[in-house]
Amino acid sequence: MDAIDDATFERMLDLAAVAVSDDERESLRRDLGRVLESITAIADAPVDDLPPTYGVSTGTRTRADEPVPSLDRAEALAGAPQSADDHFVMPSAMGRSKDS
Amino acid sequence: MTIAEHIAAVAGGASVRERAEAALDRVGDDPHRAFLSLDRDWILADAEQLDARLAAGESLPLAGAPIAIKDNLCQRGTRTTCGSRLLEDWVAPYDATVVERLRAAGALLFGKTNLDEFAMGSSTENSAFGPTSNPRDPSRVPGGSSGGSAATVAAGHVAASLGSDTGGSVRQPAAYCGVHALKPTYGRVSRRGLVAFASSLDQVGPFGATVADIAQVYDVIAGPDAGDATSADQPAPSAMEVLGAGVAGLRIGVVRSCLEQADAPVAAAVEGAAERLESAGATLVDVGVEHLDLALSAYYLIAPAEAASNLSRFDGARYGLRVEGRDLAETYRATRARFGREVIRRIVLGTYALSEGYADEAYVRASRARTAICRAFDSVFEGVDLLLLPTAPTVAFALGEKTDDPVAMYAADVFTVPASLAGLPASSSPVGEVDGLPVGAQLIGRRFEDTTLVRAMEVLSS
Repeated sequence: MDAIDDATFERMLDLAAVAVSDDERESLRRDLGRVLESITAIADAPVDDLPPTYGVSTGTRTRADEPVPSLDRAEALAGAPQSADDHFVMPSAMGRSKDS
Repeated sequence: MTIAEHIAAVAGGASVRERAEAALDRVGDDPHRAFLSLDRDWILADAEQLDARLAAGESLPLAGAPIAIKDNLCQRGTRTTCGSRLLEDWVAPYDATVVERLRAAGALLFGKTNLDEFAMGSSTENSAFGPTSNPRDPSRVPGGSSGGSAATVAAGHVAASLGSDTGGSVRQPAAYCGVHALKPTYGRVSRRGLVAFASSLDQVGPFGATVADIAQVYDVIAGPDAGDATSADQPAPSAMEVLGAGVAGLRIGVVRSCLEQADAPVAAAVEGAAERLESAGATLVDVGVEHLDLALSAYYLIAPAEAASNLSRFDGARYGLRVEGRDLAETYRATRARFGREVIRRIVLGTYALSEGYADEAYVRASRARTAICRAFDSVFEGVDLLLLPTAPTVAFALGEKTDDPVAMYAADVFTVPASLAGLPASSSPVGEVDGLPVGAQLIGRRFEDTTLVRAMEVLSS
């Protein structure tokens, strides 16, 4: 597994949507490099001809596609940082909203 | 005090409340930090309700036995923190299916136990609320991620607890703390209400002071659940009913390569366990399992990939903490910056494993290796009923010893991740000591043959 270069590292932080301080940034990058180096066995493994396994569930059965009682809306909203009018409330995706 | 002894005491006239008080007194000020929540008033109120139900003639198989719950399992009305600042004040609005089933069977839900943040870790040092220490030696880790659940049983507070095992998180702490634990077959126990870490691997499992305690809890929690799409649609055979069945006639494969990898005294203790199984009538054969050398690498790509996806839900919108930013994107980043170091490490690693340009060589390749490991187990189980190997390569290490070295920390899972990847049932049993620290022997069984493990666990405990 290749070490992560600068551009890739920044892109991963962006995709992961985590802010990392300058101090933490270097140690995180160093740790990721060490972890990727430690798992190089996978790169040489003779597995090219095998199908991937994404899950090991067996003997499952889907239920009928019918509504069943679920979590009460008010209870679901109670754990949220902010809600209004039966909805979760978040900051504007396009910058500060007028009423924020 | 075992669950059976508790049931006998209650049948003999003791109240659940007085027994709950005694358990709370045993915890005292919780010197090992096994618990993140332990509300005396709530527990005693619940105990009184259980006394009332018993007095009314209700049949409660667990008769108010106190059982501790890992704090990544939802328990209605209680904080469910996952050991994270992001969920520090989040109160679960419903019961996990396993919690529901314990309540129905008359368990006294006895506090929420400490864990590595979002179950990511092998030492319980990644909890945002401070580490748990090992009751057998408080300078040592209890293992992880279910370290609190293992420690509370090892300390004698309760006879049983629930943990979750993604890559070894019930088996490895059980080994380090000297208690019994069982990771059921994937799909045997509902994951509904277990806060997801890696959904194709996560499985709830019990810790117990004795194998009978494990069996009693397993019988309550195992079985189909329409609330979990990965729950197997078949009844779970009773573990209690196989107690006493012994291991005569079973073929047990000793995984020689793992014994050679472990510290010599650990390997010697596991060899001793093999001899006990043989003395009880099992046939031992040395076996090799192909591709075990790929398991740790595959696990540390697949589990972080699934974690990166699962933990995307913690965005400051729906649960717990929000750190306000200037706009939505900055709010996401600022909120998620409150994850601990290990969680961020795994999210970024998992993001890498799944991202365009890298996924084929990382996540997909690891998933192909997973196929190789599954097939290797299928092959070896054509000739044996169980596998025996160490749970971990060493005994419990010192607090702080590996916190700055993720690679060394991950290596503590080297013997537990293979069964997780294959979805197989696996257990840990205390089988000896090295310098006063417990050694765990791991058994791995065929899919859905969890009770065969229980038979062998009982022999190892005798």
